[in-house]
Amino acid sequence: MRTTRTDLMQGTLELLILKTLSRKQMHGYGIAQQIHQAVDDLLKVEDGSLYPALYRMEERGWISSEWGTSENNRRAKFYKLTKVGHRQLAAQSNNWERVSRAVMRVLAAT
Amino acid sequence: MKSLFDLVRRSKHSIADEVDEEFGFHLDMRAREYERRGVSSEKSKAMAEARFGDVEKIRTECIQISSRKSVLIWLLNSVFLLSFVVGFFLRMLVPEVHVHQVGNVMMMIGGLGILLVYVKQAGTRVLNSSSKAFRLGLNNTPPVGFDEQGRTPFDRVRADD
Repeated sequence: MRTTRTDLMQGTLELLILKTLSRKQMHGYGIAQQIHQAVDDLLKVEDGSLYPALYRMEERGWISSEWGTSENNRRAKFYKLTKVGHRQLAAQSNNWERVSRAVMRVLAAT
Repeated sequence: MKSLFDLVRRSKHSIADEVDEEFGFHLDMRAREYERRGVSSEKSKAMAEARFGDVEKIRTECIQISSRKSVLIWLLNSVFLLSFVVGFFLRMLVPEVHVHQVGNVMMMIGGLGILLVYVKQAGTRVLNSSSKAFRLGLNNTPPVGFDEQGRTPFDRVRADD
């Protein structure tokens, strides 16, 4: 059966990144891999779209970055969640649940 | 004003270098993944780039976002420095005691601010040099987030899987 890939809604990518980084610090490629595995190819996420989101989130103070060494001994930029980022994750998760509950109610009613 | 332009230009260059290095790492890792699945080297690189999207557009966007941060840090540093210098001259040139106190506060805010910005930037530099020294075998203490075998948390999770 062929699955349909859905474009990511605005703001959703940030939530996915926050959730991924809440487990451990990771480089951009690692984050992309984790998200691809988690969404099981149901959502269309271009690898490159991750980076502007990461840079904006760092600018807002949700995540911080530092250069380290990757699994194959190469210099890589690792991202981790800040305290503000943890709070943002909680807020965005609650908001997402509220919105999805509301949409489900509308769909169930019509 | 030449030095200010140099500073901004140099800063933009280093930001662009970092973005290029980060994207290069990502594209190499993705290409290697395709190669492991049996795709030829040339085709792997093309597939990695296609999956990444418009590299040049994303690169420009990331440099713009990072540059905003650099300008902000530079402005912050300037404000703290100005506060310190004004405070110093108030203390030196105005004899009134209450002006001395204002000068002290301004110097303290300026000094602490400069120190905090410096520590924040130096912390990143120390961590980078620590990673490099560990990688080259010059330092036996692994950097933050790495274990004794030099594995990242990402490695450890993959090994556990």
